[in-house]
Amino acid sequence: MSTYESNEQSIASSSNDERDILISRIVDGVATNADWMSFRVLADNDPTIWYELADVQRLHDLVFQCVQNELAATDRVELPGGLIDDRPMRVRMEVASRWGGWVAAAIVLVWFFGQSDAPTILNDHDSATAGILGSSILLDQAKPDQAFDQYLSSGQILGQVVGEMPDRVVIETRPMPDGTIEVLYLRQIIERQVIDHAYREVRDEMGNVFSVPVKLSPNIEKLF
Amino acid sequence: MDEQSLSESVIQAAIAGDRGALDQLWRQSRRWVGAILLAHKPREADIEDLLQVVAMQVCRKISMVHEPKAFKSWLRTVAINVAREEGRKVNRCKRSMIGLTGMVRIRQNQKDLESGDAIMTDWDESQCVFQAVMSLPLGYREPVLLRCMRSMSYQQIGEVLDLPVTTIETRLARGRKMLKEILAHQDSEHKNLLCSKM
Repeated sequence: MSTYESNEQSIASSSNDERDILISRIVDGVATNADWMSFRVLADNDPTIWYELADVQRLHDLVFQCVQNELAATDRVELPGGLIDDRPMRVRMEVASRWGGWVAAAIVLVWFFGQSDAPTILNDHDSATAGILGSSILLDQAKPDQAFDQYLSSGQILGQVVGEMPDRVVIETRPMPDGTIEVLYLRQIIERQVIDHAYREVRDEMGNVFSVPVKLSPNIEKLF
Repeated sequence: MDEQSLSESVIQAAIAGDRGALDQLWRQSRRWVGAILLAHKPREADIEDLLQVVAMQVCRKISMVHEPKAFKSWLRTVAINVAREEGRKVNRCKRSMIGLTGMVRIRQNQKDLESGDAIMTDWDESQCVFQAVMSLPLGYREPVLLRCMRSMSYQQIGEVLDLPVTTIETRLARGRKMLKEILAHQDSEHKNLLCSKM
């Protein structure tokens, strides 16, 4: 392509951009008097610009409606209560430095989780309820650990729960002002289900997700 | 005061730990944060769930924002990271899991696909427009979505995306033009499909 042609294209493209920007400003309601004057001049020479304006206006209305529908749920999302970290960063850094950094915190975590496999000394109330198969404690009265133990016990009896993985996955750790560490972690439970139908999710060339049946046969050792 | 104009003093107070200011800031920002999530999230992810994660991050990390002017772009980065993390999770799940959901719906979908009716029954204008918006390049998708926040000016969109107003104007105009072309293309494909079935 010659330099002349290239310049021509760039001028045409720039002129098209100006036309599109003008239409865009009008649709967004931010056009100035000068913009309107420019639009009139363009419309005198090429009335099809009115059609373009109408198309872009309709398109914007459609997009607006779609986006409003998609975002309707956002108004329900409030900040979680009680989690605000209102200490200045400097104070938190001082607290962190007392622990000698994240390496020290990690060691403490290993110790913390290591203890979970060791025998736990329960108080009278705990020993009477937690971890006992068939415990008759009501779930709405149970402490989280007690309810969880009951879930594991009854799940294992019914064959729905295989067990809990020994490792817990740390998501986040944070030193607290009183010298303790807040730890967020995942507990991993293995559950079991017997199924007679299975489906695999696949994508077609347009990116649409749909499910296709997986043929189940006793000869198949692994499904995936 | 304009709903979207977040005064520096409110942001400053929120950074300093004022819960009331933080609540105010969140209510003014959550819609456009939702738009950012919409632009970046994987298709399967639920926007409400992702926004909840962003809300938690805001509570935990607001004190890390050094100056009020950086708040909007910081919040956008938080939202993008949450959406991308979700994308990675979805990809991991797809690689290793079998979908077991919705027997009836799946059977119906299969029936539709077999008969070739799925595309026709699903032909819904608003869905098409939304899919077209989501297929725009990211640099155009974000301003087009943010402009749908009625009270967000070009200036405010520029603050969120960290771009000058002139760039926002150009991207909006080009994005809309691309959108028109995508929809025109979809429309002609749909008409061809209808003709071929007659």
